[in-house]
Amino acid sequence: MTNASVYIHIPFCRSKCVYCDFASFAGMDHLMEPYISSLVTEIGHAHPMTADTLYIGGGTPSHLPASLLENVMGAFNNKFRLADGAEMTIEANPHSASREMLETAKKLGMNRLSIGIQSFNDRLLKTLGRPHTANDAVDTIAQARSAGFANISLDLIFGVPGQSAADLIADLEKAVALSPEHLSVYQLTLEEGTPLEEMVEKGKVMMPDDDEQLAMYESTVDFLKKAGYRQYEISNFAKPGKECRHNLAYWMGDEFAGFGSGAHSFTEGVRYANPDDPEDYIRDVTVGGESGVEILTDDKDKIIDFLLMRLRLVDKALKFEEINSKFEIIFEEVYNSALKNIEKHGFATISNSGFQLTSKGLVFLDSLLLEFEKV
Amino acid sequence: MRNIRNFSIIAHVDHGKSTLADRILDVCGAVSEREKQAQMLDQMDLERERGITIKAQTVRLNYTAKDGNQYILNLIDTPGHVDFSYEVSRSLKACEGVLLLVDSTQGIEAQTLANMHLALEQNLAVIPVINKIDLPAADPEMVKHQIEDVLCIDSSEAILASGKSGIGVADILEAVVARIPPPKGDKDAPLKALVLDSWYDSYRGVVVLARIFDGVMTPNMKARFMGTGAEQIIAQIGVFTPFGKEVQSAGPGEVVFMTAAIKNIADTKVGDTITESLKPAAEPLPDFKEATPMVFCGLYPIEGANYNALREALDKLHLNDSSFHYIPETSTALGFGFRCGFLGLLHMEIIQERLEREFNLNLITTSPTVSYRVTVKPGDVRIIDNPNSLPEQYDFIEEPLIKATIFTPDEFLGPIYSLIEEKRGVQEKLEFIGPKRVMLVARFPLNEVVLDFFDKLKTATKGYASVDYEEAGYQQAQLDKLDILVNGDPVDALGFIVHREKAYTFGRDIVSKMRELIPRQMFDVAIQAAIGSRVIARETVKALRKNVTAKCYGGDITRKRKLLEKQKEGKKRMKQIGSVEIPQTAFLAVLKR
Repeated sequence: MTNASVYIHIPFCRSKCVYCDFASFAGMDHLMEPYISSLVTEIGHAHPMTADTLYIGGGTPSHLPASLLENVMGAFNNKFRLADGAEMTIEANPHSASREMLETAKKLGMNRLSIGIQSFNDRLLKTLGRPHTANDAVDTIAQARSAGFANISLDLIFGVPGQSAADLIADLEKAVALSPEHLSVYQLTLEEGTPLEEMVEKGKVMMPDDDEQLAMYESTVDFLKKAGYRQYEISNFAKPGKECRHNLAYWMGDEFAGFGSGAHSFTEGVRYANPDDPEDYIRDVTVGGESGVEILTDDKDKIIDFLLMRLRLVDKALKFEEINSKFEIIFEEVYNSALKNIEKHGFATISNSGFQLTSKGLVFLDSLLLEFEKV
Repeated sequence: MRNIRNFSIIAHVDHGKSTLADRILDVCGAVSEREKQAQMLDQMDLERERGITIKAQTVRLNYTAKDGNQYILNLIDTPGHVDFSYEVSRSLKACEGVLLLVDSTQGIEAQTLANMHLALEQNLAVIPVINKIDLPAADPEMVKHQIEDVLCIDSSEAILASGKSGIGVADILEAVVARIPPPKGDKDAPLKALVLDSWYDSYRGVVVLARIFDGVMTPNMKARFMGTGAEQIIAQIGVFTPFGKEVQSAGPGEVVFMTAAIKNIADTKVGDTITESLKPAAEPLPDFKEATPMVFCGLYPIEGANYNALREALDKLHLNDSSFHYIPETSTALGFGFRCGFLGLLHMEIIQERLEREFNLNLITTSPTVSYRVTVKPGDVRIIDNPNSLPEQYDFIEEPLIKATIFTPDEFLGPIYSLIEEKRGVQEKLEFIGPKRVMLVARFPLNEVVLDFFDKLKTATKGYASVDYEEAGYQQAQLDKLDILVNGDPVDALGFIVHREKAYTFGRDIVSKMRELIPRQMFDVAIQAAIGSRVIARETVKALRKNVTAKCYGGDITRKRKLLEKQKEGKKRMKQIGSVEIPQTAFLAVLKR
């Protein structure tokens, strides 16, 4: 591993949103201190490296007291040398990103802020169970700017029960008016075991159907393109040069090191996963200084794993050489029938040197992967 | 031989045949208390559960009559369902007389008449027995009238009985001795024995049940099956009492089982004549016609890996029931399976159920069809029992007919007429056989009957009608091959031969059912019903609009992987037709019409 992408997970939240099934926990703030010291220990056991990107995600990193964030960054700086122009992102939520918090982050070297806005519509924020209002969001962005963040990304969600096509456009308009450098616009996914799923099952709220969701997706792509944001991944849009380099590392199949509960790492072709539960994680690190188990995959799975990340990128043809050198195969021969199949239905264009999903293919990525699975 | 009586009990289903047989065994002391099991003669679990007899059994009883003489009574049990009339006539070959059993609460039903015809064809003595007279609803006088009117038998000869309580059983046994003639035969003539049945017993190997007409059969005798030419030394002969009991010799009139080192059950063809190799008979006994399958279907294992298990199961079942036929068949939709022919619908159901139950197989059954006679050109006539084998060009096509005899209360005539109309039937005869009861005879195309005729008749008559049918030749008809196409590719498991007038409704039904069951795919899926190149019904499964996970969270790809595995699991239950994936459940739903 030459230069590294580093991920640090902060699992704490003030409240759990109704749609969320990530490794995040509300009401566990009492674990913050032992968790952070475990994080410091785990980072201390890592191989020293040069970091190209750092991403502190969650959970809600901005929910962390400033002093604890300082501890984390102390451990990071002890272990990793920063590459020139390194991208350093921290996630924040409107309700928790105080002026003090933002200034601390900036002082600690963070140069990119990713804010979970989700919507500028208070009715929809309530449906989603978000603990903030649209006004909070606008304030937070203003404060971030004045704290000196020149690279801001906003997260939005579409396909919320009760959201009309006009609601979505209104959200996009408000977002664009604030001129963020980057936008992630995700379709709301109904996850198993979430309160939202229960609400939908009981008929309290209704998810938009496939056709409505697709229309929303298409109008998002269309709207942001006109507003000067390039779609570079299924759900991600950026002003020129402002693509998230950390996430690009995931999608390109590059290696990364993850720390904290629920964090994954990918080194020398092997993936490792830390336990989702912070208490399990703390115990692991307390006992052995490290955490995580290897995710066992065979060679075929590794190729699929690569494809399922890599093919999410838009307008970036996958060169056969890229995949062949990674896996020591002749992809275009081994996967010839799958390629032909998806090309036949207009889901991809194939050239001598590589292939690329069409916009029609992009929205069927999950199904297309099964074609490659058949090989 | 003077003291032997060979007889059967014939009756409509549920008229109490097995109970009466049990009672007769009791009176003759054939079974000790310990060995008793209700309906002694119905051996298979399935028979006892369904309350019907499928395989004919036989039992030899000792009876001391009022005249003080000892008699040997051979009671040959018969199946009671319409599909098995072939087995009934086979059993009757061994008899000189029958007990014609009629339920006094029901009266004469379709199989009463059908079975009696079989007995009369063979000139057997018929003793009418009016059963269940101890029930409150019993109406013996009504039954006596019907016996006179419908069966044309002197009803004063009828015995009133109850198999359940034993009333009249002594009279029945006396009547068997007095009114059924003893068998005839010459014990010094060369051996002539008729093969009534043969089956495979895991302890004894192939067992042959035979009725001796002339000569004597002994162990160690070299026997020849005159039809197949097979020769074997007889290992054992014996009688069922009802338990197998070895005997040292058997003469004319006796019904015995024999075992020999017979490896191939095909050597012991039912209806063949056994003689002695060293002293052969000049002529075999008149053969009886072989049972011909009337109903056909494809049987496929749901899991392709079970093909060999299915083959072994069919082989084994066939040893005990040679009346069903099976040949390997391949379907792109269903994989490897067998084309099977059965005596009738119940027969088909029974075989299917036994395969599933006794051999633990999960099967897909294609919809039942019949065998058509297709004249491709003068001189080239083919029998087609699989719709997919229908030639594209032919002069004309004929469908098999049946003659159905329906007994019903007259209040249901209206719904029955509608059913006749719906099923393209033609009424031939209507006769009142009592103040409120009629016998109706109608001809139907068999292909209309195999689908759901019996169910519909049952509904139309609230279960009060009984029906029996026999083959009634062929008639030319306007029949078409109907194909179901999925994005232009015909689905071979869904090929049907249908009457022109019904093709449209039939096709539309299937197509709309398929539409509900085929999941949306990445492209539109057209489901069409077509006759040749003419599409008569069409539905479209609209394409999925999108299928991509919105967010890929951090470096954790395991959740994406889980999603992928879930999709993959779903695919396993799909069959690929062209580029379209069709769930197995869609075939099942369409085929289980």
